[in-house]
Amino acid sequence: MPQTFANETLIALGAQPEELFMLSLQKMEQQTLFIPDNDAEEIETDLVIVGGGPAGLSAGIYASRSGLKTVVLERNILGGQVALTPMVENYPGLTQIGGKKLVEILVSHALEYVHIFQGEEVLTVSPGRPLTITTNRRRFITRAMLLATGATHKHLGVPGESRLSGRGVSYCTTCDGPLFAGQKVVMVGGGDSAVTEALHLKNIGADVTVIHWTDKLDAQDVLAKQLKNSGIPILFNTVVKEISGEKSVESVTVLNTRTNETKKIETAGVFIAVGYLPSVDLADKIGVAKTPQGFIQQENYRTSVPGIYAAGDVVGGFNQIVTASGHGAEAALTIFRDLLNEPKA
Amino acid sequence: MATPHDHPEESSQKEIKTQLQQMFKKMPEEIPVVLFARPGKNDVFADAARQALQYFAQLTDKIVFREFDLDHKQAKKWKVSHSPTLLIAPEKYAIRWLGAPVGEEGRIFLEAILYVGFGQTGISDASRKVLDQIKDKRHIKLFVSPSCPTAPPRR
Ligand SMILES: Cc1cc2nc3c(=O)[nH]c(=O)nc-3n(C[C@H](O)[C@H](O)[C@H](O)COP(=O)(O)OP(=O)(O)OC[C@H]3O[C@@H](n4cnc5c(N)ncnc54)[C@H](O)[C@@H]3O)c2cc1C
Repeated sequence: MPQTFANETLIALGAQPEELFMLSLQKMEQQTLFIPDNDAEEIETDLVIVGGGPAGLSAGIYASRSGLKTVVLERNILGGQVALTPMVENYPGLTQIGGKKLVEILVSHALEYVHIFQGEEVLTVSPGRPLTITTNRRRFITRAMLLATGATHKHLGVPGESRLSGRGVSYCTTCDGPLFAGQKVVMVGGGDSAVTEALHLKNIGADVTVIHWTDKLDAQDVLAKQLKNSGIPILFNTVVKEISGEKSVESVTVLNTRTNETKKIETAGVFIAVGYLPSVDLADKIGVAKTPQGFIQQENYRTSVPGIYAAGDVVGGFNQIVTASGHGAEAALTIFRDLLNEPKA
Repeated sequence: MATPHDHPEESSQKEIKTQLQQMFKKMPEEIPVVLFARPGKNDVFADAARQALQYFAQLTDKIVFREFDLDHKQAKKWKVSHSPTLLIAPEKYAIRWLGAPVGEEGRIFLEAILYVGFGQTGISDASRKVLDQIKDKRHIKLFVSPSCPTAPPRR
């Protein structure tokens, strides 16, 4: 198999299509997806999907296959939270797959149908039909818009957290876990993500302890059992009070809420997975109605603003890849039907 | 690395020869190709490289083929220390080939010669845009094992 090195770094294993090779050469790392650049200043389309996670990508496939001209805008990395997921074991049809691999599959599939504009953030949305959307790079004139902006991790809000973020404090084991092989780390949280990530940390050779604020894990039974069987110690009824360290994390101060005892645990890493916040900055800008919990309010994926729809984690629900994909597909079909009944702009 | 071997197919060889001659004729640029070799060092590959280049050179006067020993000052100038090494148009490009262009790789070598000869690579606009974004140097090394040209193509 041909192997290509650039400046002594392996950038391609096996033959690659030309564009992909150039991209690998630019990024100095093997790339698997090539998304052609587009420098049009104005693009007219039927549907603009905001967010390149599973909801947005699935919606793109369905909308496009229904005959709607569709684009997907993603301000950050494609795949959304899936790109941060070490291992996915509950996406039907795929027994076990790495998050990054699943993103690759989803994005490649979506690229068969839609244009994806990565690194583009929506700045303004002018209401009316059609809607005019401006991003940091261009303007879109569109008949409808789908908000599939997902969710992000919550912060603990304790001293040291933001100062040491990226210096031992992390919200992504896939990204940073391997740096901590052979070292002591703590995983804060007790839900699905925290448990999955704790198992992942153990797997890559980190000496991990779980810190959870109540006396029972919130994770699915299968995961909770896996954690138990793994022998990973769990500190129940424990909250983090402070993260300390000079240049990088050296310890966490924790409080046992039952005994009121405070102690310092030496650790090189603090991984945090304590829940989600829906990404509603754009929704707020547009002024769509939200639920009391802060999610975008919707009925059959229609928001309070005509022409604007929402799907995926940003509308709440079960926060799963398969449910986000399902939302995306249903939203796309709803939009298709609505637009059928509307005169073309 | 595999040993060089041929699959002679007389009539098609003749055809290829004429095709190559026509192609070379159209090339606007002359291409110096330099072989550095030292007797006793990888002779099989050095011989194969020499033969391949002599074959191309007798088809056209556009390919100017020269050979030097590893001791020659030219070797020092181009920092060549491996026998055999082929340099393609070294005054203009930094392209070097270690080993022999045989088997499937012979075709790749020929492609390189043609790109240099025509002064263009035919890469797509999309690729060009990516390349435009690379601001610092990239030293590319590609490692392959020559395979039999009649083997099924690999991806
Ligand atoms: C660590 C971790 C592990 C997980 N493990 C699993 C698992 O094993 N199985 C499972 O089913 N689920 C898992 N999940 C949950 C699952 O990943 C999410 O439910 C799913 O990704 C939600 O999809 P989404 O498309 O709604 O949103 P997201 O995946 O959050 O994607 C939203 C995208 O929108 C983009 N965006 C936001 N705002 C804008 C804007 N204004 N302009 C442009 N783009 C914007 C974001 O950058 C993001 O890429 C996990 C999540 C995490 C964090």
